Amino acid sequence: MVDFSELKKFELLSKWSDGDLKEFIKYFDEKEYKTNEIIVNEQSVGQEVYLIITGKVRIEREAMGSDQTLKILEKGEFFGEMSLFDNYPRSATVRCFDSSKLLILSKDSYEKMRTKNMKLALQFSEMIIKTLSLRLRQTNKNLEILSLWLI
Amino acid sequence: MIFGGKKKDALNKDEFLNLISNGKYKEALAIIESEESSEYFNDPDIFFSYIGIHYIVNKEFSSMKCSIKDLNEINDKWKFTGFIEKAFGLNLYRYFEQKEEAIFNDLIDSMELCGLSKEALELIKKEIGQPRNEKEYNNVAFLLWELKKYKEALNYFKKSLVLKTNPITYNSLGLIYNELGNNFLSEKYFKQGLEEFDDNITLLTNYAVLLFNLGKLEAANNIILKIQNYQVGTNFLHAGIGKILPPEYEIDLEEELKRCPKSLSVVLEIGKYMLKRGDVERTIDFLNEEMKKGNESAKIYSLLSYAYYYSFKFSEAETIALKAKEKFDNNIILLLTLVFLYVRREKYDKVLSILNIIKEKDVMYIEALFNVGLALENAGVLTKARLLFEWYLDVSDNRVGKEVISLHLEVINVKLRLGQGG
Repeated sequence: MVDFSELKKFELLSKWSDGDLKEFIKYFDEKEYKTNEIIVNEQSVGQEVYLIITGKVRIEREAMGSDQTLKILEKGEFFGEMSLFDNYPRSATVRCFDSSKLLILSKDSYEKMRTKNMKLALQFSEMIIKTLSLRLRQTNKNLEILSLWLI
Repeated sequence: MIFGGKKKDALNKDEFLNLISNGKYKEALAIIESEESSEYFNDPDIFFSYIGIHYIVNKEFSSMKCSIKDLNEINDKWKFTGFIEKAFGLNLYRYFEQKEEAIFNDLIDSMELCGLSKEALELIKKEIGQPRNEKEYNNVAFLLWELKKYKEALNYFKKSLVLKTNPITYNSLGLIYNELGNNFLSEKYFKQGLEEFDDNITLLTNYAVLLFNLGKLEAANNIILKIQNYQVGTNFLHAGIGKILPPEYEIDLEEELKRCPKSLSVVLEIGKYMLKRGDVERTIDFLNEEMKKGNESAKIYSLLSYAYYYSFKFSEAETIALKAKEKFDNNIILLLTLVFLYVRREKYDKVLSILNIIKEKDVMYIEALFNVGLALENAGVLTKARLLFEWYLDVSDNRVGKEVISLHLEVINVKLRLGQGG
């Protein structure tokens, strides 16, 4: 069972109070995956967000007959967060890069959190926004580097 | 020993390549020909630059041989990098030494770029006699055009059109007639080309420029709107579109500058607009003048550096960016400008030192090497992906990222050995 103190080590959650983390972790399910096991399938419908506790996962897409790596995520990082806010199919496949332990928050659990503890839900939403904003910033830097080759 | 003469100091590659960049071919040749060692001829930059400038100076192919492999890979890597002499040398070597006939058209193109149009025409006559297809007719026509033999150039382009229509041929006919002041025929060929190739951006852009110059503003504007719906991705096209933007835009900015002579943002906007129009020399003069008045910022220096780069003044571009980097305390815009210059000039060792400074400023740019490398790998652009991954391994402190990239690098190396990807 994941202890709340493990979450405290992650940058995104490091400023949360112990009380909030203890409460927060209750809404999640825990699951372990083996190397190469698929966690999420591209185009599948799903409404869960995942937090990596240990290990690494590979975000990949199938193109030109092979699985192409888009990104590697490691402990302390979220994925699948878009599905909480839209109803579109998964945009990529997520596969275990090496054996990993994940916490899973379903849309239902997120709704419960919103009903029972709005402050916590807001803190969580803020964290998701921060993650998305960091990813957008990273995308901008990627484009700047890419433009060195293409323009 | 391959060359005669006494051995002097060890060959300085940068000095040798700089001499070539500055058109000092004879001095560069003298350096090489005073060397006793042949080891430099395992370096593609030196070997093919030598082959290229040897031909430019002596008008004959040097029969030197090298043991360099993967000429296709080198060719892909050098495309559009601005090193015309070494690309020319590579084409010469592939055609004359390796007997690769398919490279002939590329060789003719590179001769034209090196200012050897007359020699290229003679080579065509010697090697193939009369052109055999529309591509070869066009090649001859471009060379004649370069030599300002307009009438003959027009004849060859027209013969090319009879064999096979091509937007480039229509575009060239339109441009030559425009150059000769015959707007009627110029318009005729652009229109004719667009009837057949209605979404060709080059034809659209040049036709719009012509219409604008003829005062047919509404028609020009309709074409601009059409062009704007396309993804425009080259400076050439930006310059083309810039030239047909309403001139009032520029006047407004200049008025604004009179009103606020110390406004750095207005100076920057005017400079960017001039560069976008393709008025490179004017941009350089304007920015230098403004900087003398104290209108300086990291962005203005960066823009000036790009303007020098686009006018092929590479050492000025580098000098101005380096000077500004010191002045503005390693400003990220200037660091990225330097990375751009070094990447384009293939000075990869210098890229690494700048990336190390960038890492201290914003580590996201280093992670971008990882992400862009993956994107390039996925697209099959393996040599460039490999370069980015190697930089990442050198610069990044991300242990996990480096583990992952090491695996990708192994796969890329295997693929490249098997001749997959480019």
